[in-house]
Amino acid sequence: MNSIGNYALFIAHGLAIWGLVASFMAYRSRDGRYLDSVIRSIYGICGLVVLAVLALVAALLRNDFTLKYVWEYSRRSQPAIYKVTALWGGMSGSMLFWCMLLAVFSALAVTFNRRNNLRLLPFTSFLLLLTLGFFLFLLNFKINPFEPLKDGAGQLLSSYSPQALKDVDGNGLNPLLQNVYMAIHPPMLYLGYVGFTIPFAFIMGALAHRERNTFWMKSARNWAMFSWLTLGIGILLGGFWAYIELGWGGYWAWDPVENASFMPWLTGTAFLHSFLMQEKRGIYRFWNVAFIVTTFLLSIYGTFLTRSGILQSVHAFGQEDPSVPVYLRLSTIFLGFMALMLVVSAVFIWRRRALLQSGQKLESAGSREALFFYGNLLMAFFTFVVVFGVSSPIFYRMITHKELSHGPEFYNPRVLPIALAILLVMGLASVAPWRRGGWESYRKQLFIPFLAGLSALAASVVAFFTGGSLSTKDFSGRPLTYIYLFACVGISFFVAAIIVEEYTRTVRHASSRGLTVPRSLAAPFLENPRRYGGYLVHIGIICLFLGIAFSSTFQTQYQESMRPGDAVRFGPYTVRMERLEHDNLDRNFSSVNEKRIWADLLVYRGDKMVAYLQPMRVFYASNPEQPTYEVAIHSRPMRDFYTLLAGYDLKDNSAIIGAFVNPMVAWLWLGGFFVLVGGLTALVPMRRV
Amino acid sequence: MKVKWTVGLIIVVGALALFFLSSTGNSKPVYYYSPTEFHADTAKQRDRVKLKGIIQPGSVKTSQNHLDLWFNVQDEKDPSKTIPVHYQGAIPDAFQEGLQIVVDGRMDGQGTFQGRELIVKCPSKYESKGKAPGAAGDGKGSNE
Repeated sequence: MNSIGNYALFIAHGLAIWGLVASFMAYRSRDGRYLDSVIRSIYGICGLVVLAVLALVAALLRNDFTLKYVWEYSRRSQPAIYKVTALWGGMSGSMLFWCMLLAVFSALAVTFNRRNNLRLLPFTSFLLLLTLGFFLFLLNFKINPFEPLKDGAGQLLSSYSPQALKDVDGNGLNPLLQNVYMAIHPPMLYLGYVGFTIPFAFIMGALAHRERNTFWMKSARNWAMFSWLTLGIGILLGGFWAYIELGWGGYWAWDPVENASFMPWLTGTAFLHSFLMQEKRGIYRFWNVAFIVTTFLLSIYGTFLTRSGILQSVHAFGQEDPSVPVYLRLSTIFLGFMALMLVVSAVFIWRRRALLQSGQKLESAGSREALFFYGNLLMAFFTFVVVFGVSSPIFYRMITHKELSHGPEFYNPRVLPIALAILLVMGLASVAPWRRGGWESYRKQLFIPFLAGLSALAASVVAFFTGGSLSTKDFSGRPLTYIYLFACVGISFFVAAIIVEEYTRTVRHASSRGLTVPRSLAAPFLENPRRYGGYLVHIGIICLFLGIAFSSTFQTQYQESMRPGDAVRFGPYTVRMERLEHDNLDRNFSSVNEKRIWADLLVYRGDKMVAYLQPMRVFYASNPEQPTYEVAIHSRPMRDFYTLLAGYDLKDNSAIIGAFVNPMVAWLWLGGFFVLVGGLTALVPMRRV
Repeated sequence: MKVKWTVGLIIVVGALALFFLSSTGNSKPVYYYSPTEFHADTAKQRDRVKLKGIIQPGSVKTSQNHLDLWFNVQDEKDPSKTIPVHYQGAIPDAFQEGLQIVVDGRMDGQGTFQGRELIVKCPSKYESKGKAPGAAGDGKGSNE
């Protein structure tokens, strides 16, 4: 069974090499037979890699501990779902999963574009096969998921008798990863990372083949949109997982591995916007190529950072064995591949530079086109800060052999003003007229939004200085934080009002055509799904901005020692501890995967009981020494009450209850919902009315 | 189209200024130090640093309610160099003796490093370097 996986990967690698040769021949000779062979080899790779994944999943489900990977990331008592998700719990499994997604996407992209965009396919396939070949090379020779396990005496476990094998159990998946969100988060990220390869290959293909037809752009745009959406949702799920699982009351820490997924998302965002300009006006061609190449490279870089352990990170994956020669190290191979792709892209950009010149000149600095340009410039800078923050410690270490890290203190002051400027441009761009922007056209449409923004700003300032809980003393302690907060409120309302104004105008227009009320309300989405889907995404982004601004500014933390019967105040809440309970806590995990200690808490606001919370500590079989947190959250739109069992003393029957009052965290998840719905609306255009 | 480039230039200059001018005050980078390096560099002993090493086996003590935590960070290369650490708050999920740890904090006047954040590195869990089962029938794979 396991040898099937190995053979499949090996043959797939051979097919990738043949496909590369054939696609090169197809590119040079334009002989259709070569292209047919290329397409068949992509299908073949797809089938073989899927087979290899199935073989590994089967091994995980069958507790086949003759494989090192299975032994490291699974154990007998692990629930079946986490045996399957162990597929992406470690380095080689997740690389195999990455490779499978790319193979499936490539096969789909080739199938969909075979009829209409055949001319692009030779070079497009060449790039896809190069990437596939790279991962297949790694899987075959560097990080083989089917590597057999040896015992301490160097004997292969596959030579054990079936009886002896029965007594072997694996390490098990990290308990932190045994969570349903962690089961979805990595595949979502990978869908995004991998997905960006397709538009990258198409755009470079169109460039290399001097495609003048714009038919392929729709396909590239849809792939990019899909990837952007899954990557974004993946990032947010990661934040949600951190929030409910790690017990520190936050969702984002500028950790390098978080940043790794954020970087391609930022450039992907910029790409989607400037690509829109290319579709509509034929401009910003160079920007688009630059952004998609960057996004692709950052996706590879992100995969590498996440998985190589080169960075100091809470995610702390494996470190590299220093005895391996430098040129054989995973980091060298990854950087070499990135350099290769960069050179290939740069060569074609240079050779086809005439094609990248915009056909038209921009007419006005206030036009929509110009605003998109400003937005992209800001996005590029945002990305630069993050790339610098992630990468400079690596170079610093190479030069000085000392380590440093950049935390929120590095990022926040540098990116917050940029982020606010992006928010502002986002709003202005949706009312800016095409081609020419005059003061007149703005004045008419921006009057009400301007008032809305200004009054929200004024209201937040007044509420801040007159409200009971905060004072001018807080303000002078960290003035910038509050200035950004006020600006965020003002700009958010300004932009939201612009979107609402646009929407109501379209609805009014629809109802004046005699449509019924529900029909009119839906009309903007049905008639112009891309535009209004985009607006929904923007509303989601506003929610995210507000949620981040308030939760990071006003988070308060509490910690109290409690016994059953005690009642303690945590900010606006009063908590009564009813009981401290636990499972049988002996060390016998032969039949169970987890054991718990929990506190029963009644939460009151005033005299009214608002929640019953059970923060827990859970001992997992794979790591019985250290229990993980299972936090309990009372979530309301304006405020989360977040509790955890920070400490416990079973002999004394007492517990340390930690609590956070986190304002408006729910707005993040709401924002994510809007982004998802809006993205899907734009992605799946509905039937025209 | 001069205006467009002027606006673009303002954005570029503004962002660059922001990038470089922000590197003062609170936003200084935080450096990693091993116990040996920390002892050697007296200038750094008052700054906020990230202390990196091993959680010295046998050194971990907790208060009865599991809230205060004391342990020694041991140098990875030179086991004789250690620094005592105190930390109050929720203990991270993966905290275990013998594992690599990063403590973010600063030295107090009494020679104890006051940690404000613990980052536990747990390679054996994410990317196991664990040894295979010692012998047939061992049952439990040793986990470093």
